[in-house]
Amino acid sequence: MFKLKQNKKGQMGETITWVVATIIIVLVLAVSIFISSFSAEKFKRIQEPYFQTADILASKSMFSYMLTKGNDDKIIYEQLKNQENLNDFNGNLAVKIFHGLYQKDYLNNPNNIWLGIVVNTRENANGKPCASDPQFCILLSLENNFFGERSVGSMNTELGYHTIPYTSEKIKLDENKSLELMLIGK
Amino acid sequence: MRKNKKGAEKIISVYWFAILFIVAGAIVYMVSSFYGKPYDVREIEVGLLADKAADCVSYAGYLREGILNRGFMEKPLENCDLNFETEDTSGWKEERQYFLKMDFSDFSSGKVIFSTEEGNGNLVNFCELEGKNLPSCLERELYILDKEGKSYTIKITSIVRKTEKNV
Repeated sequence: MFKLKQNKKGQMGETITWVVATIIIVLVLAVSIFISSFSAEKFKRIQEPYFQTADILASKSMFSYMLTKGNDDKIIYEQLKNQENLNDFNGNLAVKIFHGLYQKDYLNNPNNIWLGIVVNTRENANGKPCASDPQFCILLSLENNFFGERSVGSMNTELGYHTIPYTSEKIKLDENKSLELMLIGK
Repeated sequence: MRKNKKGAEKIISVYWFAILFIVAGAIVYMVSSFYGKPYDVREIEVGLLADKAADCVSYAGYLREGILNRGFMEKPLENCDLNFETEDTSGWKEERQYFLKMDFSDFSSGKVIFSTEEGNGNLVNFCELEGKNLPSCLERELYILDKEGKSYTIKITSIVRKTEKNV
């Protein structure tokens, strides 16, 4: 009688173990099914690449902006070539074009759009001449009254590593100076 | 005691078979739910359509010559080398799957000078809606000059439907 009771207890214990195991197996499978169907929806939607390399419409607008004539009858390209930084005319026009037309495409955040002058310092990070490795020359982005400071850092290099995705379009003004349009995220 | 043990072993082996089938069924379901869904490439497609339209109207910062002539924009598809033809499935031949609209406006005043459109205009009504089986819409703008230096804004609206093969 005592032996039978013991046996019954053992069987009950084993049954409970398997019931719990079954519940765990079913739960794991349910979670896996949920993840696979959720990831299917996410990964099967092919979007613009995270690190998009170009924004064709913004770069076309930038070319047109550079060709726009100012009050002095000079195009903005010539104005910027001869000036230190953006002036009232070309700065305000840039805000109207790039914030006005593209802010909504870049997370609706004005800080995600920057236009300004970038100067090549001709020196590398150690302060030595970089003529032999131009890709490591420090590029200094100048702050301006219209777009402020370059939000992803005012100093970078052509090969600079960056974790924030951005598209950059540059137009060379002279040997050391260029105009950069930077668009962050999409 | 021995009989009892044999019975328990039988029950456990049946249980193992049940678990095996449940696991196999779940794996088959997971694989089919992931690989059975089509890739939705329409977001890329509407972007390309807008880029192509921008390429068509602008060159080196200026409006292409003759763009503002009526003849050019009456047939934007032909003039921009675009083709809205689709395969004949799910009634796509009867109901066109693409739409492209370009609004040319004065940059200073914002006043629309003229518009041109091609494709299925009914698709525009779905752009404001939220849901799964809806067309993919994109609206982008472009700043441009004509040769006289007058500035314009071009609003490009591109829409691709093709829900049957992408969603």
